[in-house]
Amino acid sequence: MSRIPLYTAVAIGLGVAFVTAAGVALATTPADQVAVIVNSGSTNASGFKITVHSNGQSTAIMQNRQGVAQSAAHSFTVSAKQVGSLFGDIKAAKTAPPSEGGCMKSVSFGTSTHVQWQGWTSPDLDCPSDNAAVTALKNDVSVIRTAAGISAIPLLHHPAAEGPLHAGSSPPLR
Amino acid sequence: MKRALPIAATFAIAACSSNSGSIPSTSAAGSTYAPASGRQAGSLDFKLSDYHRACNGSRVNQAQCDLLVGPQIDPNISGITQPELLQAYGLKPTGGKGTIVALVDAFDNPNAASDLAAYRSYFGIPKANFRKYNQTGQQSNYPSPNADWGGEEDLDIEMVSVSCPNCTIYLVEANTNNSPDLSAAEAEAAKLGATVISNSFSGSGLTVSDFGQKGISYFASAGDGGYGIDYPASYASVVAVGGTVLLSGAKGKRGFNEIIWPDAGGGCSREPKPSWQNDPGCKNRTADDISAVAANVAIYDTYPTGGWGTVAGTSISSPLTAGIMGEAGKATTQNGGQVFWGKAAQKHLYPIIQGSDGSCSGSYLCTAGTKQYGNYSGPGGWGSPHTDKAFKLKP
Repeated sequence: MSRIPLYTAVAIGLGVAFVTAAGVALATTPADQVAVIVNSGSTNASGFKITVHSNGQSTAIMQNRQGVAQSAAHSFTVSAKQVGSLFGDIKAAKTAPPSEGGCMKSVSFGTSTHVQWQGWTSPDLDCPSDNAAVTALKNDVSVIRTAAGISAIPLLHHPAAEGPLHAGSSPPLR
Repeated sequence: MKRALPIAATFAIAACSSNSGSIPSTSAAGSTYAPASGRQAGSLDFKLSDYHRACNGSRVNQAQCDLLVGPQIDPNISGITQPELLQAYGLKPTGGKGTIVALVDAFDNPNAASDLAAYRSYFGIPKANFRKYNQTGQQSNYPSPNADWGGEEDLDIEMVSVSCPNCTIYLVEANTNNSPDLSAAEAEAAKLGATVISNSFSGSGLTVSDFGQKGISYFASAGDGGYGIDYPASYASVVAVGGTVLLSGAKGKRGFNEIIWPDAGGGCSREPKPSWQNDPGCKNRTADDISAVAANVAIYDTYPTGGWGTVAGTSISSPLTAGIMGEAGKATTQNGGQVFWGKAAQKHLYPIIQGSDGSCSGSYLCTAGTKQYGNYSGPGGWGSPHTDKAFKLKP
């Protein structure tokens, strides 16, 4: 049995490791993957749609309850680490058992948030879940929403978008 | 009251809803307002040149923004205020002392007490007898804060303050918005002594037994999705409260007209029909029972940011009418919304006879003013409060 020189074994090992790592990376974030995060909005709040590509390139748009755009698309980048987390958690959440019990929403302020990926739609992330994968996905969405500049859903009743915000003791000027 | 607030020649024309597209352009100055197709049962003559959109720019086509707002007499007031609500419904609330009205919600609004104090102070309402509880009845260990529910909670407690300033107001916060937590909060509200409980939430998972304690008058928002009725408003043991739009400038003492808010819930539920309903078009429980304003109402909400602003939705009408029930002093004798289906109570309601919340082949279940079943319509119920007299009757 012939012996393989040490440097050859190291090279092969590194090659295998590289291929394996690349394979894992590809399995986590294949180049053609796109996830879409949709928040419904409510009577008193705008919703949003965030499209995340596996290369990190992403767009966000504000939209109403009927999906009608209310802003121009805003481009931003999601870090590779966060992209990996998102797609990994999507795959984990996909196999999660459905939550038991119901979920209630404020009639005029409540929203729904879902992640869509390859024909699959996540549970409503605005409902509590005791599943770790769904909770992790919810956290991903929160981080990405912040990266998109949608850190807090703008309530329509707050007049900031149309003029100075008056948070004092008197109602704002119209 | 700090100062007299004139009744603003303002407010909203429900020009459209989420179901009906966009409102006519205000650039058509001088033209007569043309209701969206299939929406209005009657005709309304408004000059668009006198009105402008409630919101500008990117926020059009939101339910809250699908309104045309009239000329404003008092430039310091945005939205319908406490004195205007009292005027619109003929309310002079003097009762309610010792009555506990509970608002059941989820998560915490850490600013609820201070926001309520600011709202009441501005309108000269005496300091509230207000307490905030978690779902186990503690006045500590509150749930985690939540901006959406925080707005709901401020709206709820401020509307009760309008219609029943003397009532004791309990805000009971469920740990989360899942059904077991809200069920626990509902039970805790009853345990704490509430005789009126308002619920501005909807969804699945709670049962009729959560809203069935004798001696308690339950109220619920009918929903903001147009034709169709949400839970818990579907239950016959709950007063289902629909939504309207108040139009100022009307002739007469009231000074307002009132039409259906086009996103208000209402219709034929899946629940058994109570013995006290005999309308012809629904074999099950028909909702709503009554209605009240659901558009362009001023609230004060600072969590997480903000201040004064306006909101829309049947989340307004449920606590507003629940407060009237608390003020009227007959909450413990009620049986869901039965009292409003009696002719004696209907004499003390403003019938809502214009507007619609969707398509239902012209049925009264989604259309006001059909006369198919008196003045009843799904989204408007038997009408809106005209004083507290209907609420003082026994079913």
